[in-house]
This record gives sequence, structure tokens and C-alpha cells, in this order.
Amino acid sequence: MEKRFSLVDAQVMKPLFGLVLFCGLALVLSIPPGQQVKDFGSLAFLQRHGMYFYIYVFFSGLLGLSLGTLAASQQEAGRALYVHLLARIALGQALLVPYFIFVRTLYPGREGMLVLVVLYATLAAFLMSVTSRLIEESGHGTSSRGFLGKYAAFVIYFAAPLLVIPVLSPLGFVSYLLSGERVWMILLGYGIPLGLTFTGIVLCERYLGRAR
Amino acid sequence: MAHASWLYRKERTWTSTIHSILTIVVVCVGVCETKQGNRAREGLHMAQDRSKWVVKTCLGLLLLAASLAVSMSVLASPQIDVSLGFSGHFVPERMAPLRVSLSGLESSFSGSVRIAEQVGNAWRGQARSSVCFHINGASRIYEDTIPIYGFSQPLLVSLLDEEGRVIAQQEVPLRDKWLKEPFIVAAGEFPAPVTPDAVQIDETDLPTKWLSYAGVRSLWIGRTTNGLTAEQEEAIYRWTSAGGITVVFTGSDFFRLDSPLVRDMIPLTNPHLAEGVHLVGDLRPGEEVLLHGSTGEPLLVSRQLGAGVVLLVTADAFSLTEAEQAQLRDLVPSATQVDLSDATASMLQQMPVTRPGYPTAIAIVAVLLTALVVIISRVRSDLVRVVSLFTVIVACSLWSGLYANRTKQVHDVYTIKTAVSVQQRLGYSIVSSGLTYIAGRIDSALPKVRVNDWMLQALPRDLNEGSYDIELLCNHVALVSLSPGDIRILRGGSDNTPLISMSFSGDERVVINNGLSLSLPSAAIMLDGTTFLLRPISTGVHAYSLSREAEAFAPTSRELSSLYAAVNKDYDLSSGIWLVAGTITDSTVDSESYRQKVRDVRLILVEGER
Repeated sequence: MEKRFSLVDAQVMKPLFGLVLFCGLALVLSIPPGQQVKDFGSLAFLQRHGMYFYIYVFFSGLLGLSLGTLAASQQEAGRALYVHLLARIALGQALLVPYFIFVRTLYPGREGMLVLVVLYATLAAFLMSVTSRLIEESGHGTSSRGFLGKYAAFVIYFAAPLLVIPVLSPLGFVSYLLSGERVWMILLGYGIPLGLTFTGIVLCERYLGRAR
Repeated sequence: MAHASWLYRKERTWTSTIHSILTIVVVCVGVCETKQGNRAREGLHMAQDRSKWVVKTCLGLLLLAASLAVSMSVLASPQIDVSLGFSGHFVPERMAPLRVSLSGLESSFSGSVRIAEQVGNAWRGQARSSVCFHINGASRIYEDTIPIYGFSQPLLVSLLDEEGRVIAQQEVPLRDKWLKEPFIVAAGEFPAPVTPDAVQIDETDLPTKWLSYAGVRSLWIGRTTNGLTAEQEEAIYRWTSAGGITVVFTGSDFFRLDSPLVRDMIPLTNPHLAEGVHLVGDLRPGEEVLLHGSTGEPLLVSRQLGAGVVLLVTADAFSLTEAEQAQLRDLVPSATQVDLSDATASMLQQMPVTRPGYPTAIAIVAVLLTALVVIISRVRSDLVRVVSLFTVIVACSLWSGLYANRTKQVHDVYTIKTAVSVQQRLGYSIVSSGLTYIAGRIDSALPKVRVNDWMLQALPRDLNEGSYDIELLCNHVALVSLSPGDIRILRGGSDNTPLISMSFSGDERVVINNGLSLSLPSAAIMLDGTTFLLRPISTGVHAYSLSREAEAFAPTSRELSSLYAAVNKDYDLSSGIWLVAGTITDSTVDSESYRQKVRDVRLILVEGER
């Protein structure tokens, strides 16, 4: 049975709550500790190494996974699937706008990088949601195989490339963005999730359409 | 035409080789020619030999001319001759004088000299120091003060053209003449080694920059041929006032040294010779006779000059007995240069950090989470939910934007600059800078932070952690390499005179001409140990009344207080008239690779006349 779409409902609350909570914690921890230069201690490295952005991209990916599962449970497909997924991902990003305004003071002069990270996280979340929707198709979001499959895909995408080609992983790519890498590297970083998303959409169209 | 250094050396080697070969050939031809001549005189084979003789003579002359031409080209090539320290002596991790003599340059030449030093070793870690100063066609001997950090590796002094290409180079070994501790410098003639461990130099070799004397324990000036130059006198005056010890042997030699500045330095006013042997005169107030001669006349008179001491020996160096020389050696203290490094390091540690606060960040997170839960669980209508949620987002964004404004932005580099500017007969400044890289920006590139002075960097024993490279550029700017968490302390000085003067108009009024571009909020006049607080000294000429007597000068700012405390122990401000004033300014420097917060703490001491 297909439910009527609701942008903000109880089922969306959990993944959104996780995103807002963990990004909030990362934001608080990214504030350099101490009132004086001498107080700068071990926690300063959290801000120095851009911890907020890693947490943000990581939880954006998790948000995408959850939204994909939700879409599977509601058997969404076709154009509506993408519109609904994008709307909910955009809601998640909108909830973080106050954080990003705050984060600007921690990384002054890096506004361009902030925008690139937000775009990339949105893209990664969308990719994860499409992947999750595809994997969960058979179990409608309730099977353990689907659960394991989508998290395996998440780990493979986020962690495995770090060992070989870091720029393929969202975490590795964020690190490249923070260190101000060359343009072609940034384009490559964007190209991977774009290509994967496109592939995901094609697969969705083929398999979800056939299942329907 | 310029070459790379190795190419240049290679060319010179080839030129010398050709020159040698030609010389040998010319000598051989000459010998042959002599033999042929003898044979000709003996009447043997006269007709044939004469023609051969003419050919060989011509050949010899041609070769000689070629040889001379090659010699001239060698002589005309740029050459560099470097002398470091006092007769080569220096103390590592202090400033030292460097004199560079250039020859073989065109009069229109313009370029620079670069001095490179590798500090440390494989165990201690390594750092690189680079110093640059400009060269133009006007002069051929250049003197400057450079920081020397070690002694294990030679200095590499290079002459560069305008395009930065090396055209001459010299290595200066440092191993032979380095000294662990500051040493005594004896300039001019002395009867015998006045002190066995003194470094004896000709008075013409005395540096003309006061910072060059940083490795000197005390400076003894004996019999000079033509006295000292004005630049040398000024350098010695400034160095002494900044904590140096100068011993001047006078007696019948005084008039070779006599000048208005020397008269201002020495403890006697109206100096004149008594019985042609001893210099006598009127003692200035507060001066002290440390040693009397055999007939009871003052032999050694001391005067505090700024933070240093001038010791006047009233006899010439050759008139002292061995016993008097021994007594003299015991009475001469060691120089203690005013050093702001400790005060700077402490101020840097206590520098307030600008950053957003935790409570606001936590509050924003809490409001967003609460709103999310409450709206989703309590509000039934979809539309109202969305509208409520977006209202909360907009409200929180405004809150965040209003709070986390420019004043809360994190700085990458924190810098404290301390300076004590002193104006006596001559002015000078003692400066120090402290830097730390906290890193708000997350570029992996380490910033090279600009410091607007030439300074010496304090190095730790272990150079492995962090980058201690420092570049002193031709425009007298220092670039310091910093890694996150690094702290650097630098020290130096300059001839900069504080643009402020004062004069008394009546007993209780003083007119101060503040030519600085900033007002001085904390100020006081010290009149023979009595402190009168002044209202803030604004720019321009203003009169101030001496009505607010206080126990001591106590600026409200912690930084100024600690700088004043650091200086007060060195300068005797309890005698004479002194204007003490201070100011603190904060500024932000935005560079491509870092954002720097700079706190400038400046204390000004001006000695007045009644």
C-alpha cells in the first residue's frame, strides 16, 4: 500500500534527529577550547582538522540510507521517488543552516569551501538514498539482507577507497577539499558520486519499473 | 652576463688554467729567444737566425698580450670577500657583524647578498636561516648585523644579480672562532693583553650597528690612531644604553676620541688633562669612583647610561701599572642586554583568544533538536509542521548569524609584538615578537608568517618538531615558518627613534610633542624618583601639568605593566627626568594563507633635560 507523501513525519524524524544531533556535537567540539593562547590543548586539533565536515558528510550519507529505506517501505518509484528523496535531503540540509552560519566563524574566509562541502554532502546523501532504495527493494525496507547490504554498500563507499584512492571516498574527498586541492581533483571527486548516482537512477528505472 | 655559481666557478678555473699555460709558453719563448740571441752574437747562422728571431719575438709578444688580456678578465670578474664577527669571533644564537667587500663589479651593478646558514644536524634536527641585503653601485663595502645560530656548518655568502642569479660565492667557516659565552673586545692599542681572554681588534673594525655588539661582554677602547667614526660612536652609545658595558681609556689619548657624543657618554663634564696624565673634570650627579690611583686621583669612574654602564679610565692604557690593570679587570661587569623575550613569551601565552562561545552553540543545537521533536510529535497538519520547522530554522539562522559575527572569528596566528623605544641623546628600540599558529584555516600548507622586523629566533635544543626556517628578506621583513601549535619567540632591535620629545615650561608643567601617529593612554613623568601621572598624551604638541603624584607608574593594562616591570629593573629611572608612556593596539592581518591577530605593546622612555 502506498502512503501519502509527507515531508516531515515521525518516520523522518529519527534520521533528521541523528543528523542534527551529531552535527551539533561536532560543532560544539570544533570550537577551540580555552580563553587564552596557553589554554589551547589537545581539543584544538578537532577544529584544526575540520572534524565538523567529516561528521557532516558521514551523517548526510547515513541520512540518505535511512531515507532510501523509508522510500522502499513506502514503495516509492519513478520521478516521485527522486523528488521525495531530494525534498527530505534538502530539509536535512536546511536544518543545518544555523550550524553552517556558526561554522563560518571557525573557518573564516573559507565560504567557498563550505558551499562545495554542502553540495557534495547533498550529492552523497542522494546517492546513498538511491542505493538504499535499490537494495531494500526486495524486502520493502524490513529484511535483514537489505539492512546488511545497504550498510555494506555504505562502508564500501565511505571507507574502502580511503585505503586505495582516498578521493573516491566522501571522507577522503572532504580532506582534499579542506586542503585546497587542485581543480581537476575536485572535479574528479564530484564526478564519482555523480556517475554512481546516474547509474543508480538508471538501475532504479530498470528494476523498480519492472517490479512495479 | 651572469652565470649560475658552478658555471661561474668552472669558467674561472678554465680562465686561470689558460692563463697559466700562456705564461709558461711566454717564458719558454723568452728563454729560446735569449739562447738564439747569444748564438747570433757569436756570429753563427746569422742571416737565418735573425728572421727566426723576429718571428719568435712577435709570437712571444702576441702570447704575452693574450695572457695579459686573460688576466684582466679574471681581475674584472666579480669577487666577494666576507669577514664575520670580531676578528672572526662570535657567539652562536646572537647577532654578529658581517662585512662584505665586493670587487670586479660595474658601477651600475645592483643586486643583493644572501647569507644562508644550515642549523643543527641529523640528531638535533635541521633548520635553515637566510638573510638578504641590497647591494647598489654606490658602495663596495657593506656592513650589517646578521643572526648566527650555529657553528657546525659554514655560512654560504652569495652575491646575486637583479634576477637572483648567483654571480659570486664564498663559504665562511664557523668552526674555528666561535665562543660559548660573550667575550671582551679590546679595540685600539693596548700595552699588552689587558685581559688574556680579550679579542683584540683594530678600532677601524668596530661595527657601526649597535646590534652587532650582542656577543660582546664588555668593550674596551684603548689608544686609537684617529678616534672613532660618528657611526661607530653612535653604535657604541646605543649598545651601551641598551645594557652594554664600555670601558674607555682616556688620559692623554682622550683627545683622539673626543667628540660631543663621547663627552655625553663619559661620567665627567668639562674634561681636561691634569699634569698631562689623568683626565679630570666635574663628576655628574650619581656617578661613582670605583678605583683610585696611587696618588689618590680617581682612576676608574662609572656612569649608568640607560641600562648600561660607561667606565672611564682617567689614564691611558699604557700608563696603568699591572696591579691597576688587575684591579680594573675585576671591576668591569658583564653586559646584560635588555631582553624582552621572557615578557613577550608570557604575554603571548596570556593573549585572549577570539572564538565563538560554547553556551550559544549548545543553545542553538538544543533549540533545533527540541523544535524538531516537538513539531513532529505535536503538530498534526503537514503544512503547519513544515512552516513551523522553517520558522525555527530561520530564527536559529538569524540568531547564529547575529552572534557568530566577525568579532568571534577564529584567528590562525596570534602575534604579540613588544617594543621599548628609548630616547636619550640617541634613540633606539628593543623589540621582540611572539607568534603561535593555532590554525583556524585547514589548508595543509604551513604559513610563512611575516614579521616586520629583522630578528633572531630563539631555537630549542630539538629542532625535529616543527619547522624553524626563517628568512630575513631584503626589505627588512622576516618570514617565519610555523606548524600548528608552534610557538616562536624572536628578538632584535633597531635605530628607530621614538618621535616624541618633552621640555619643561615652569616647575609643574611639561610640554610634550607627540609625533607618533597614536596617542599614549598611560603616561607618567618621573622626576628624580617621584612619579607624576599624566593624562593620556594625544598626538601633537600639548602641555601637561605635574599635579597627580603617585607612588609608581602602574598602567592599567597587564601587558604594559609586565613590560614596564621587565624594563624598570634594567633602566635606572629613579634619577633624572624620564617620560614613561605606553600603548597597546590590536589589529587583524588577513593574508592569503592565514588570519593573524596582532597585539602591539609599546613602551616609550624619553630622558629629559632640566
